[in-house]
Amino acid sequence: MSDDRELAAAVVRARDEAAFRALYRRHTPALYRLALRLGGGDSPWAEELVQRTWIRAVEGLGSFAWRSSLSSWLGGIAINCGRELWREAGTRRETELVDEVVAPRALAAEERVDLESAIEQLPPGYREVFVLHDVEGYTHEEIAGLLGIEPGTSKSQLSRARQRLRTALAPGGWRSTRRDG
Amino acid sequence: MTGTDDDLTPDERDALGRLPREAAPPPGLEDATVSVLTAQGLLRPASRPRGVHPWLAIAASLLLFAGGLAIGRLGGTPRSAEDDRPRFALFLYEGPEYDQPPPDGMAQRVREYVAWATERRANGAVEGGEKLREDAGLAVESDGSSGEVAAVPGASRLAGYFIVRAEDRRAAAEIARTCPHVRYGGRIVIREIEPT
Repeated sequence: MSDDRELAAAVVRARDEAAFRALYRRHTPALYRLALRLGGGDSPWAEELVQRTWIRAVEGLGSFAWRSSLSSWLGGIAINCGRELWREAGTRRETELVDEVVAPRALAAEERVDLESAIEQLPPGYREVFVLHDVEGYTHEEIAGLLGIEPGTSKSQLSRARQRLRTALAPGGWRSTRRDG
Repeated sequence: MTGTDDDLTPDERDALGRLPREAAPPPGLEDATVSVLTAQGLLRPASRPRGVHPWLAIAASLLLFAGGLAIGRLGGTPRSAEDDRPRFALFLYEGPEYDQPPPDGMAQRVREYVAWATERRANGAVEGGEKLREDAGLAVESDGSSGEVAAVPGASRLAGYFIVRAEDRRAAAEIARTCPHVRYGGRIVIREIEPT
């Protein structure tokens, strides 16, 4: 199996469709999962994000310096494209990043959800930082650079996101339930 | 977050570590993406069976290239060379009843058409198709004159076509009934292609 560099080179040099499809099939499952999480489980939004990410990636593939893995680079593109989509949809990200005035509440037993669902239900600003930091492993400095916020804002958003999840998932704690799509 | 009072507990880290890292992307998304990249000139179209023009992903163009036309290609398995079923042209008309997607829904609409065609290409039903641009047509008359075809308000407009293989016209109609175009209020006219 060709590695990412070989496939990318074929896409850049020869606009090779087969090479692109190989890259797509290798990286899209992780990209789609990230998109679903960033979008709170909104499948059409996630599909739009994946497609836009790949288009942007192929446009910039020739200048990709390979200082990170291709998957990390794609993740960064996805995050930026996701913010573009929010802006185009008129979503007020700025307001979503400020403190919430509604305190989180513990869910009744019949409302209780698994960790994946609870992440989806986080406010977008909290969810974005939580997914990037706690799920994807970005640092606060990296998140700050990607989202155009201060590292301190990223930390406070993460803290609130965790607190909200703990409240929502108590008393059973965080349970991961594998779900498709 | 190290050193703060809300560090993750070991159980929480474990739960996060067990979250799935991947999700199966929806069928059709790969072909739709390839279609747009091909239309942008970022990918070279792959070889096409029997010179049939590939189907196209259309309106992603509206999202990606102002006024441009995005022509794509169907994936899937090309039909068998031994397939001797009649060929039919499915002409897609859009009238006032057609439910045009909002600008931010165009890519999703494209994927639905591509997914539909891709699925039917795999079983040899759909051979290809084209989207027609939304500009006025040019008519050439018998006296050699020509001029733009005036749009008639409220009239249906030929928006594109598919070429399909089917046992007969009834079977072609069955294929057409499953096309997203019908679901969105479009009309499909079926004409059998004369073998040449």
